[in-house]
Amino acid sequence: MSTLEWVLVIGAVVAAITVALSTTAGRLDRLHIRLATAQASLDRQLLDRSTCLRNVATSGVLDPASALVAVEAADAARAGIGKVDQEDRETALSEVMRTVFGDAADVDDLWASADEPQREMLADLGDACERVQLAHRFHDDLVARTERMRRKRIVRWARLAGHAPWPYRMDFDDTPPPHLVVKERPIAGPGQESSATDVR
Amino acid sequence: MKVGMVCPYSFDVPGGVQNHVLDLTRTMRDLGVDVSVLAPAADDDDLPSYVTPAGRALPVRYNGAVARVSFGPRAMARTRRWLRDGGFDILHVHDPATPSVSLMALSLASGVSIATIHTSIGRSRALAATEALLRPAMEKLSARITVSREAQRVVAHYQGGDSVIIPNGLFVDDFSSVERRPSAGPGPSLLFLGRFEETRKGLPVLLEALPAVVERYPGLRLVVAGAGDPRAGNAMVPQALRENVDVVGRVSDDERARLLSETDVYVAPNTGGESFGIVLIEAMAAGAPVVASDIRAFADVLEDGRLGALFGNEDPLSLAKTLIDALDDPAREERAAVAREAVRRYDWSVVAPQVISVYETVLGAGGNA
Repeated sequence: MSTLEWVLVIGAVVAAITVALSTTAGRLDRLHIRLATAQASLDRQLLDRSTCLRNVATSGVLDPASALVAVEAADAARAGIGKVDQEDRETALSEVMRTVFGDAADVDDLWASADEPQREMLADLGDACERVQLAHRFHDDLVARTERMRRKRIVRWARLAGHAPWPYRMDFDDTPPPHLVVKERPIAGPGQESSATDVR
Repeated sequence: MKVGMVCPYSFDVPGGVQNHVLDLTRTMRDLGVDVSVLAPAADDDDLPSYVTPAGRALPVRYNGAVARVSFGPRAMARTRRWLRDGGFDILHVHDPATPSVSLMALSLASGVSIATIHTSIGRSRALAATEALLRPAMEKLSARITVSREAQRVVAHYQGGDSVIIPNGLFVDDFSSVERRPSAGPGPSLLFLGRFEETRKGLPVLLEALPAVVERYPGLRLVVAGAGDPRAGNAMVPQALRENVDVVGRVSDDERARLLSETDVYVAPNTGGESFGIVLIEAMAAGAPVVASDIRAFADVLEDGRLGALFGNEDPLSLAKTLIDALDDPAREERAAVAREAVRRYDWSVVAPQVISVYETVLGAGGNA
């Protein structure tokens, strides 16, 4: 091959590598942005969940002992957002909630004994729990996808991730008490006065 | 007289309040008072016949500490049934500000109720919300008993009002019946009792004070006994003191009485959070000379130094000096003998009738209220 041909071939190879690198870097960058958004969204849902729990606890619908434990757990979770033990605190909150609200029949009784504003707060809490589960799943899914991307040889060799921290799953228990999430409730819903009275 | 007594803490871990409730109940039943107890416990736990389990306990962070308590609808249902079946003349709850069955029972109660407040830890954060949750139940109390002047001060400060002091009780004979045999080893011996890994129990202060004492008494031996991992305890001991310190971990009640009977000085370097010094009473009942930090609860129990030596709280220099003075003192055992007599007033045979007097008083006053 002539010198010109050599130059062309090398040029083509360099161009191909550059395109591959920049495409991968772009994909990785977008994943990181999406992950950051998912993290922020999860934190917001967790904050919302603890706020809703606190509202329910101070509304007078719970017995005082359960209410005190719930307020304490909610405050601990709220103070723990972004801290190293955030996952432990959120797990503790979920466990406390399941004991405070009991099984499905207990939640139905609670619903029956609640007045209209209290029911609204309970429904809000149920919604918040559901959104936490969704945001948690989306977050961990993005972590898995980002991880797969970052394990690629090209990403590691070319250090395409830069200083972005390694992504980690949020490992906490997000299971809400049964029947608290409204869609799980077979009959009673907010405003369905008659069915709620039947339960009582 | 039918009495319903509620303990907020689970019986599956030992603790001061749990022991207090069981011993008080046992003594009052011997005195002919019909007492039933409700407490967090699992159904299959081995419990005396007069104890009703309120369901499995859950560890909960509350006010900066972890307590094993029961709450939620299941515990509430058990509490309601126990109250209904019991038909009590008087409800006696312990530590009702703890989120557990005491508070539940109080919130459900319609008759005469009184409370014993053990904790001296004030509300770290005076939350308007939690105060509002507690208030309706607390307003039902006809009388409040506190276990010490320190606890009385805390109650007055955080909840307002006055309370009657009835100290924690002890079966003094359990400790005084063991023969006193100090100075068995080559050098003098010191004893530390308690969860040594908890800094507020003060082991770090004692370890810091120890080198100065060892310098004067090279053969000195410190025994560290209490709940906790002995390896973690040993790790707290500096290399230079390994020869002098012996971490034995958890001991039984009998062993504790024996350790107290054999030690030359019992040291209580607790830095705070104590409302009463039951271990100090035990040590005195066993005839052991006591050196304790000058926190209020201890100063009260030691009658400001008459029954034992006090050192400046969290001050290793003061502790070292006080320990050396105590070990140098030839009249140490005579002083301890005075304390041994003085603690007779903490015997359950003296304390339980005081509680019964409170019952009789509030029932007498409650009739036309």
